[in-house]
Amino acid sequence: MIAYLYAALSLRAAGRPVDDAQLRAVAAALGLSADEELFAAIARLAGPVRTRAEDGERRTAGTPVTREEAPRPTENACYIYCVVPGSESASLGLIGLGGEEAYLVSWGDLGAIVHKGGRPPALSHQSAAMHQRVVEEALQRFGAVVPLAFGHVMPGGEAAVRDWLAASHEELKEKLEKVRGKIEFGVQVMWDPEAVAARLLSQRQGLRRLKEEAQKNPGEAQQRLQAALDEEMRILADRYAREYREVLGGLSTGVRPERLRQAGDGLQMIAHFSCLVPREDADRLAGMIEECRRDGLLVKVSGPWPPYSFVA
Amino acid sequence: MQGVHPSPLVDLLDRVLEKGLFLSADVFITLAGVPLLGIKLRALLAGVETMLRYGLIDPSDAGVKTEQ
Repeated sequence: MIAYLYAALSLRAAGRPVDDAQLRAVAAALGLSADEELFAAIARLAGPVRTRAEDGERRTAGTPVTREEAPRPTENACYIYCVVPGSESASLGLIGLGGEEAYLVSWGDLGAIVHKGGRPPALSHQSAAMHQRVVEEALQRFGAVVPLAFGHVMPGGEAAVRDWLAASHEELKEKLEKVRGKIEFGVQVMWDPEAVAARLLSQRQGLRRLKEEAQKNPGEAQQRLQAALDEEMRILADRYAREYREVLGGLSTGVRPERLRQAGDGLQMIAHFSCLVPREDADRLAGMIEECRRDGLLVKVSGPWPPYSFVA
Repeated sequence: MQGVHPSPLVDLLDRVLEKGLFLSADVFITLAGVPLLGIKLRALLAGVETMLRYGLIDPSDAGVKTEQ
């Protein structure tokens, strides 16, 4: 079911618009189902958005490798939620997907939280939320977590999980240390582009002059006005994005620029970051964001999340 | 700070699907419906409209209208 996203992202990469109907067609083609809300959300995630140079930092590993000779579902398999520091046997209870028991399979000082099950789970709003809940519980209990993306099933059961932990020990350990004691927040900065354009047109002398010309002589002057206005807005958006990045950087051990999403309701997203924040500083984040608040900017903070954005 | 149109589902999916650790499909069955993906996803790269045109998707199944 990451297939949806994969498909949508492929379309976007090819410069094509992605809409709800297309995703539905994709779902039907792949013999999958999903709830309505999920479709709308994925369409929003993968829909046409303005990209920035910063997007160049996005990892390429996010695209799942798909091979026809990929392992087939078997009965003896484990679904893996995350990796934690922990060597004792432990159960998080029946909170796994489908009510399965989520428990620790360990090798050395590392463990994976898994449930026993042979098939990759279907994605729905609910199953995504359940995956997240298990990762959240694991973070509470073990103090650090490397979340896996939804949908990883390992054939070969617990023995194979241990083999994998052993083989990846150093790499996983390093990732765990990087995020230990830290949590993630998402910060989205939006504005109303029409209101901003109106404000700039009334305030900036150069734009005012171009506007007067455009009124007298539409056509070419109108185009010049539009180009100048677009440029002013771009500069302003970049400035705000830099300011927020600086503020967030003061508190965070990591700030990652994220892809700008469609904001909906006539709003435009001008900055989007994931921040990795030491747990004890989390309370200060909202305050700092409030301090650099500006007229006409709407800031949305989501979290705290397990460090999904800082384990790639 | 104003809570603007919170979309927790989008934030959730953004993380749970697009982020987190991705591991090699050599070791993991990473995707639901894996056996289907090889062929059909490749076809997707050619575009959904093309698939519809060549009947890779049955439009009535998909519940979408096409200009055929």
